[in-house]
Amino acid sequence: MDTQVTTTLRAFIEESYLFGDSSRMPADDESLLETGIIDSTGVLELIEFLEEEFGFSVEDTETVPENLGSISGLTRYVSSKRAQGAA
Amino acid sequence: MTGPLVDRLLEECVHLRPLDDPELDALRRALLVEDVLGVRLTDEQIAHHVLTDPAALRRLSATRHPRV
Amino acid sequence: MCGICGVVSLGQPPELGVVEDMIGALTHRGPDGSGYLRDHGAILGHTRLSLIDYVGGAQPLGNEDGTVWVTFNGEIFNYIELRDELLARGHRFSTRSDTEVIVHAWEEWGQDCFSRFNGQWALGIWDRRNRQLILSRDRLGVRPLYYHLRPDGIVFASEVKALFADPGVPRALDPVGLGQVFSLWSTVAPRTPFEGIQQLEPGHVAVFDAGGFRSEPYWAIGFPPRGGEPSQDLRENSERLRELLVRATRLRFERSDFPVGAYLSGGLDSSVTAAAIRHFTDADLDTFSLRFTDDEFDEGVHQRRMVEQLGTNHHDVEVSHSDIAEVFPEVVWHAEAPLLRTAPAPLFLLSKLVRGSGYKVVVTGEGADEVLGGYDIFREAKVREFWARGPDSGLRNRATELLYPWLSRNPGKAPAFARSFFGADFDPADPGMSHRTRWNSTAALRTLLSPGVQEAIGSGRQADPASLLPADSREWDSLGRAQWLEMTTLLPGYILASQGDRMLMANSVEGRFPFLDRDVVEFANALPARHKLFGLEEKFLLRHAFADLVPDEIRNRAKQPYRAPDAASFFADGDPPDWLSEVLSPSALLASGLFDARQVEGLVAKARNRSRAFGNTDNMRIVGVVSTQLLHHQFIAGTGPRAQRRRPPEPVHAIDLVAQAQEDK
Repeated sequence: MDTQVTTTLRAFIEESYLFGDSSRMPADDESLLETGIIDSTGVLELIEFLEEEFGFSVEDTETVPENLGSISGLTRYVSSKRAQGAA
Repeated sequence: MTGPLVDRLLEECVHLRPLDDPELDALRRALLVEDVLGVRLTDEQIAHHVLTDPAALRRLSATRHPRV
Repeated sequence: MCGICGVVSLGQPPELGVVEDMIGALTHRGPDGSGYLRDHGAILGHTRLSLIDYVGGAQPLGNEDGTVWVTFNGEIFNYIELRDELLARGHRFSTRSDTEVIVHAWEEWGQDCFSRFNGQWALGIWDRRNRQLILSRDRLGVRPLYYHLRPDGIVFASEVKALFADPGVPRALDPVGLGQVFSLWSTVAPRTPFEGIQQLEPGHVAVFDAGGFRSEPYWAIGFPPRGGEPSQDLRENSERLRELLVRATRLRFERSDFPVGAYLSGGLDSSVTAAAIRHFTDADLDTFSLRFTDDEFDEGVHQRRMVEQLGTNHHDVEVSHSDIAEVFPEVVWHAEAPLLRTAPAPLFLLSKLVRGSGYKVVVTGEGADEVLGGYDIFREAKVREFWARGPDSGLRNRATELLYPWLSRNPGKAPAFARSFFGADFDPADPGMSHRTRWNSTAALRTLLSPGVQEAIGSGRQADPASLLPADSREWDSLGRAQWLEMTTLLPGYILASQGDRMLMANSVEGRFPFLDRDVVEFANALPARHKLFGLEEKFLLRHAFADLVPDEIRNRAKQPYRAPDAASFFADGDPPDWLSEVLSPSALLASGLFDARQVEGLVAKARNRSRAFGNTDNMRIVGVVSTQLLHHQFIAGTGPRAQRRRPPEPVHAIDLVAQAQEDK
């Protein structure tokens, strides 16, 4: 697990969706949708953030819950995209 | 019972708004047919030639699944 | 259109001075004059916007022998037919007004009179024969009616600000009410956002007397069992709908002693009503539209198209972000509720234009989406059912593209995620499934509330509107259940209230709604579901019925829900207005105690950076917090020029039975 990526993601979630209320930060494996952290337009914000912050393109086929639905899923997704990019 | 409804449904389909994309057109007809006739379609049946064929729709209605 | 108020007291006699203050607070609803009736133990008050029988229709108005009096806000559009019937039954009329029909109808039919009315109303009847106050409201909640119960009395009024003119009425926000707004978009009658203040439910009649207060429905929204709808033929239904709508529009356009205009949004509904007026009456027509400087919201092209087609005298007002920001406090003052959208603000400016053009009444298209199946929420429900029937069918994913061809910030761009989002709350056994996602996603706003408020909500009983569906709703098409939920929550609580009556009345303009005509609604409810929502084609029958009068370009448009710039109105053009900074300041947040100050700060910081790109929920957050803080500031803290006392508008029509009785001694 890339802790740097996870930290960056948590900071984004806290600022953009929790408005500073870190007490509601979901556990790494919790669904961001089901906990009400993100709604459908929140997903677009998330994609925009990933592309800007980490410098890769999110393909339509990659916008699946496994990749975007939880902090741990996001971390794995980002790490694998960066590994692809570095290859 | 369902025969007249199938006929009415197909007649009323004439008034659907124009839609260029054939895949989307089949999809919206599939939703309509399932909703109005109370049936469930397989992926193969989500096709224009099935969804506009009165005989095919009557056969489908005859083997109606319980509504979701 | 008018304002009503009154007090009934079983103990201490009601104070005229207090009622006069209440009347004064309703001046905007009736600037043409006012009146009161003072009896032992009861006072009725009224402010008048005069539309029918200017000379004869002063209120409060009584029957032949002064035993039954009414204060009435609204119009009974079939009053001429009712009057004929009552005359035939021996009643004597002394005016030409629709108001007078009410007292005689009450004499003749008692509580059964309301089901005979085709109109929009909130009224109070004081029946001296048995010392009863009767309150009634129209079927769908077009006209407002609030009340506060005491151990030995009741005080009622068209608006909460009039109730607050009585110093004995408590002033506090109701946390459970706020919890409802931050989920359902509004409170559900009888609840209001204010503690101790209730609203009469639409379609209900209430009685207050020595035996207490009781309320019951005189009408209910209902649908036939699925497949059991009486008329299945498209052409027949189309002709009948056209006939009923044209009749409803003509009644509303013609039964007025003053000229009536029409709103034109550029969408189907108002195009139908405007076309009906132009084609079926002899009149010239003045139309009124909203334009937006922000292209994302502007519908000018379509409005123009209809104006050309119909040849109307057209007026429009262009609304910018700063226009919305400037009027928003006044908008909240009139809405008397927390808002999740700024959409009422441009409508406030539109009714101002109407008034400024010399008009007092407009016909609008409200209600068509609820009654004839226009909303996206109905279509979303059908898509969810479609997905649930093919859970493993990836082919079905693209149904989101059928839902939203127009929205630029489109969830459909992330199709698989969108499907899992839209499908997420779906439980086929849930009778409220059409609305569950909206209610759940709006409820995300509750996390902004302070711990104290959240606790108060948590421990209060949370009514699930779906639990109020009638038992036979199981047999309805799922569209019927969705319509019922919309017609009992969003329509009366927000569309007709905050966007409708309140924004119109703020500028002393009366709105009339042909799509909410009693006969139109009853016919529409009996239609086969597919004639309302044909697959995902909304308002199918309406578009078919008026194909010759409304151009294809407008008939075939994808539904564009009426919206205004939300957070962007306050933050997109430099610094937010001063009033907003004050109302969100740490001291203001402390004073209300309603919100978590730290989160509000974080939310505002995000808005300063990206309000233009705000998604749905963040927009609701901003508007929700700002409007609730304004509500507290204006009504609870009670400061500001708007809260000042006003005299009843002249001329004052005073009927003092107490003084008369003393004179007669």
